[in-house]
Amino acid sequence: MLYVPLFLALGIGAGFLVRKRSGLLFVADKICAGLILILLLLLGYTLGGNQSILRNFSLFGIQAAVLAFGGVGGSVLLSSLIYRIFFKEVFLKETRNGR
Amino acid sequence: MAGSIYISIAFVIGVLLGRMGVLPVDTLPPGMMEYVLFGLIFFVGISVGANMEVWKIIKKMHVKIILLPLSVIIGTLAGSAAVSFVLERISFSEALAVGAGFGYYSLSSVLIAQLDGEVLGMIAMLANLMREIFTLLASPLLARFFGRLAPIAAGGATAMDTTLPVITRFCGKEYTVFAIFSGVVLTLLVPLLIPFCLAWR
Repeated sequence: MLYVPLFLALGIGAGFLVRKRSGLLFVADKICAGLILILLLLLGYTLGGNQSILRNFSLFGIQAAVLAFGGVGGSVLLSSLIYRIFFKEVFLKETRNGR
Repeated sequence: MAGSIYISIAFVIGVLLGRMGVLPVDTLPPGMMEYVLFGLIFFVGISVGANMEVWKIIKKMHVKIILLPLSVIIGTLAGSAAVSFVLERISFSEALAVGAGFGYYSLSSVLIAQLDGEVLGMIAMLANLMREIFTLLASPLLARFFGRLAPIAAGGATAMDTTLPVITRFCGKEYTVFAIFSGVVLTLLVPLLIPFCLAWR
C-alpha cells in the first residue's frame, strides 16, 4: 500500500502545477466524481451479491451509527475545548455581546 | 448535496445489480479495482494540490489554526477507539480506520473495502455518511452549544466542500477559512491514515 502515498503525492504535485487552470481542474473534478461512482457501484455490486451481508444489514447500520457517534462526539468535544481555551478572546467577546 | 444523491444512487444500483447478478465483475482483470482506486487517489491529490493556497492561510492567520484539524484527528480517533469496546465485532484498529474516514465516505469506504473487506467498507460508508448528514442537520445546534468550531469538527474532511455552506451560514463567514483549511488537511490524511490504522493490529 506504499502506492497510496505515491499516487497522492503525484496528484498533489499535478494539482499544484495546474492550480490556476480552472478548466483542467473542472475536468479533474468530473473524472474524480466518475471514478467514485464506478467504485461505489462495484462495491454495491459485491455487497448485493452477498446474502449474509444483506441479512445482517441492520447490524452493520447500528455498528456504523455507534462509530459515527464516537467519532463526531470525540471531535466535537475536543474542538469545543480548543475553542474555549485558544479562541477565548473571540469567545469572550461573543458572550459579552450576549450571543 | 446533489453529488451525495448521485453517489447513493450509484451504490443502490450496484446493490440491485449484485442481487440480480448481471454485472460480470468476476471477469474483470484481477487488480483492476486497485488501479481505479489509485487513479481516484491521484485525483484527490489534485484537488488538495490545487488548494495549496490554503497553506498561505497559516502565515496570515495565527499558528493556532493548526489546532483545529489536530483536535478533529485526535478527537475522532479517540472517540472511535472508545466506542470500539462497546462493539463486539469491530476491533480497535477497524474502528480507528472507519473514524479516519473523517466523513469522506466515498473514498474511505472504497479504500477500506480494498484493504480489509467489503463488510468493513460498507460500515465505513454508512458511518461516514451519517457523519456528513448529521453535520448538515445539526450545525446550528453544534455552533450554539459547543462553540463555532464544532460544526467544522463534525464535518471533518467534508468541511472544505459538501458541509461548507452550512458551516459558513451557522458559524459565520469569518470561519470559512478555518473550515477549508481543516477540510483540506483532513482530506489529505484520509488515504494516509486508513492504511496506517489497518496495518496496526
